[in-house]
Amino acid sequence: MLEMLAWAIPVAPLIGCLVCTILAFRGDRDWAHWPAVMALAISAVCTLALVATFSDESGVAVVHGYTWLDIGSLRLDVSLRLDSLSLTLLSVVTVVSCLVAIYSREYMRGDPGYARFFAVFSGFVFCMTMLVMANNLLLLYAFWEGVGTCSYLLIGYYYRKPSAAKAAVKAFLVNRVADCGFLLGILLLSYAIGQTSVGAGASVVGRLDFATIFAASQELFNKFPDLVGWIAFLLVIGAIGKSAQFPLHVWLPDAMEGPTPVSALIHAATMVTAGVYLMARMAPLMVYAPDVLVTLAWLGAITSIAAAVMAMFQYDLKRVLAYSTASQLGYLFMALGCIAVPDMMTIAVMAAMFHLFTHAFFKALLFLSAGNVMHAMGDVIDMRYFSGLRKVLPKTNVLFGIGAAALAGLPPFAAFFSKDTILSLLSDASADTDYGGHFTGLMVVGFLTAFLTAIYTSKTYFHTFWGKEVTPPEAGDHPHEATTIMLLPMVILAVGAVLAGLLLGPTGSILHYIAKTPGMDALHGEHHEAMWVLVTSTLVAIVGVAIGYKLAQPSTSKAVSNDFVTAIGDFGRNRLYIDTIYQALIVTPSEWFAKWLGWFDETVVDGLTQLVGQSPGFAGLMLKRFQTGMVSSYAMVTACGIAALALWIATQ
Amino acid sequence: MDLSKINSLTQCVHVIAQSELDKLGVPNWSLMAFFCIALAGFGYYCLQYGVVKSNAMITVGIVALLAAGLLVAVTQNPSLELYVFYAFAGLATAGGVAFLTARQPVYAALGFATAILSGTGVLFMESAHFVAAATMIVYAGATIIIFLFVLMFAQQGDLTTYDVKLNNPAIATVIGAILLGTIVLCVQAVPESDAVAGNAATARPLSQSGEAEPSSTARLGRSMFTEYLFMVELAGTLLLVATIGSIAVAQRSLEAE
Amino acid sequence: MTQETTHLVYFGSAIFTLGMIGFLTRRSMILMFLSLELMLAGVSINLVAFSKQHHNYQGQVLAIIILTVAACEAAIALALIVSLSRRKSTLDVQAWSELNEIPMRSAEVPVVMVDQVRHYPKLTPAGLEPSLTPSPVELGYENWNELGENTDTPMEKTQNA
Repeated sequence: MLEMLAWAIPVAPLIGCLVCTILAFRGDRDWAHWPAVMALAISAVCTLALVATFSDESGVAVVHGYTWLDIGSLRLDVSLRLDSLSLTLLSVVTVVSCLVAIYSREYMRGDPGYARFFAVFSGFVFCMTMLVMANNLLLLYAFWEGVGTCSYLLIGYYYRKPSAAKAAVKAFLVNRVADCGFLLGILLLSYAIGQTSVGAGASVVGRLDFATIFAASQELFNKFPDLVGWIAFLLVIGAIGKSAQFPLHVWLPDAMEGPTPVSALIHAATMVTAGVYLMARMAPLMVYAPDVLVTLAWLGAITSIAAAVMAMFQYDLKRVLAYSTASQLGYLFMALGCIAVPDMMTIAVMAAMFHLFTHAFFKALLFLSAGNVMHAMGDVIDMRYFSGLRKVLPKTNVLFGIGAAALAGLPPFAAFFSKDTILSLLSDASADTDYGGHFTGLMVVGFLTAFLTAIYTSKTYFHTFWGKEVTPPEAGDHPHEATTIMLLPMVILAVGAVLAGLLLGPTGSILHYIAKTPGMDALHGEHHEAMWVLVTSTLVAIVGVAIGYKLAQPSTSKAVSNDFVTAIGDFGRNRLYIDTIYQALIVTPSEWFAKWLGWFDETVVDGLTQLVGQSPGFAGLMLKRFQTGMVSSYAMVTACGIAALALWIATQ
Repeated sequence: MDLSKINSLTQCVHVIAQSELDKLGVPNWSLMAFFCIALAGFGYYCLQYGVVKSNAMITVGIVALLAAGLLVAVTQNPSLELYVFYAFAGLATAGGVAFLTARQPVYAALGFATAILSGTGVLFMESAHFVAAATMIVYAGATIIIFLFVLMFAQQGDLTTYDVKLNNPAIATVIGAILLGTIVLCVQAVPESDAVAGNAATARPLSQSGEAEPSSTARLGRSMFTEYLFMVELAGTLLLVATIGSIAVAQRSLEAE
Repeated sequence: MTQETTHLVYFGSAIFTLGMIGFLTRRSMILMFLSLELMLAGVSINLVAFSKQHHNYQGQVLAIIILTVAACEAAIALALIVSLSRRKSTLDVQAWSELNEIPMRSAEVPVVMVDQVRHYPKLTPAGLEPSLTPSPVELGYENWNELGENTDTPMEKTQNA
């Protein structure tokens, strides 16, 4: 029963993907969403059933599937690992993807690539569920690349649009940089575990089973302390690439070129959390590399505050949400950094997973609401062209408001609890003797980011839905509210955004659930959030929302405009010039190099080929001169040959 | 090589050259290459500028013959046959040179006739009487007559461009010299006593004293009509075909007119 | 090799070489032909020398055969020369160089415009006896498909024309 349920989760989307692919090749059918939605629903139901029924003494169940490869000592088993950590993320993935698929049925209706969309969508869910459930780091890596490919395909869904194609390539290439590090880390890890007593008997791939890694990590640290740091660093590179952290965050805002449901599912709720999941999964190993973890936390902190600043000055509604996603993911990494503090691994992972959980709901909700706005405004997403839409889109107004309140951290919405868990975690960590100073700084950044988040969220919300009603000409005469099919999943997400934090956080249920994951530390007593953190956080959120409300008024923005604000705004709008720097330092030299290579290919390589091809022609040009058509010339050549032959014979 | 056995001009030159060059360590064929190049230069000069007139050619030929005879007389005690041989050979060579260098086609034809007739003389000396007679009749008789007839038929008047301007004389003479030098070199490399012993039993000796049949022509005829009958028949058929062919070719061209 | 044979071979080779040089340098067809005869004579002399060396008549027989071939060649060659000189009224062999490799630029194939509209013949419906009148294409009507069914038949048009 367990095995069936476990295998149904990835296999159902795979079948949906194949059926939709066939439909896509047969020409678009308007019912192409059925296989995908059904498959994802099966997947979600199975996941929930598994969550409800899963109880194992050891806290983990490994479901063996089949042997993929068996070549000599190389043996790769495809097996699934079920434990609290994977089930938590799995439930997010399957439920949100099912809801977004239902939403997409209306949102994507009539699109020329309807079946293609659902095919890749299902394919993504297949890869993501396998990534989460993989029992082997190499298998995880394979599906890590799989979700990257699906992300590429979906960002470039409107492939005739140059900006979409460019964004897809950009996302793919930036992820290649990160995956390169990740792969190196995997190889290094496999090699290192082979040197330990635990992994000595295992095959090259078998060493990468999570159980083996966890068992070997202590010995690994004792034997090669530096090597563990390097492995952890390489894994961190992989994680920050997939989770769009500084300095590899540049692809995420451009990924908004894809359809809005894709942005909601892949680039907000699920795929970008894969990096977080990797870090949480590898926590028993990462704990031996505290310096790397602190670096990771600081990268998250830089991302969260920089992305918040950038989000503040964006005009594009979806880009605001994209930067907000990067910012919130930065929070998660800050929380994961606390693994460096002794005895805080479980609580750090819990905090990260908790915020991940709530974030998935409210961010998907926000993106889908933005999709509604975009739908109504005739695909205009620039906030300068519309405002005051609360009469036009009353239901969306409420839903977006719930999501925005959750994002801003207002109590009692979900993010209030999850964010405060992280902040109080940081405040606890700042008492550490070794890294306390770092975590104090991180906590300050966290509060600052929370403040900025509240400002830009409320500014965006109030600007879009309140004030004077303005609609762009593209919206037509009568902008309409979304249909019921679109609103229904959003309502479910909104319920999650409101209740998830309240139900899971203060009750401590998620903490105890995550703690059951094997490899985690035992809990030391009850965890209580500091009261001052709660109060400060609430105050920060309320003040931020108020400032955002003021900023949303057109009069205010004129009043505060001076040189400094303009300069900061330009700075933020230009994405802190990070893309410009990359363009100058990496892209342009690469293009020069590519041009040079192209020149080399055309002249030298092709030239050689052409030379070979044309050499008979040249030979012909020379030999043509002998073809005079005159008897004397032919006789002369013959005589030359005879004389040469005679001379040769004579000299033998 | 023993000096007492030296009995010809070429052997003399060969021995002198070899004895000198053995000291120098120069290979034999490089000497031949030197001679070839010298001969080629001379031939090119003659052909390009046409300095050899008919009278001068005859003079040079006579002088060369006299010099050759003198050299032979110095190197050995020559027989009369050898003198005659050198005389015919020298005359034939001189005729060939005249054929090459003469600008007037008629003079060239006369040079050709001289070469062929002198050649038949050599053949007579070598007991090939029938071959000599046939060559004289066919070449010097029939061919020359037909040639002169065609010449007069096709080309009346003065010298033409294609008579005066030769085609690549330099390369042609160099090639000819190399070929000749190579042949001489190869023949010299053959040992003197290298008679084919295997054929001695079946061989029919040529004109030797005391034979039953005095004439070599008779034995040639017997050989031709017994051993090589098929070949003779074939040659006859070829002649017939050639006759018909030449008539046909000429006939067609007349029709085209 | 005996001394006499050696001398004879030298002599024959010299005659042959002279003939070859003549063949290579002369431009008049008649003189080239004579050079050829001189080369054959040189070969004959060599064959006779070999015959003497080997004490048999093979060489001499072969020389006689060569003589025959030379006579045949003379007949054919002179006939050809007469024929060729009549064509171009010159004996220069270089006048006959039509088989040479002409420069490539002048060998460009002219571009032939192909008519883009293709007219396919209409087939007679099955079961009907085909008419015995010549097809319109044969009669020169390229656009006969465009003719209406009730217009003049091609045959009538031809008769009118």
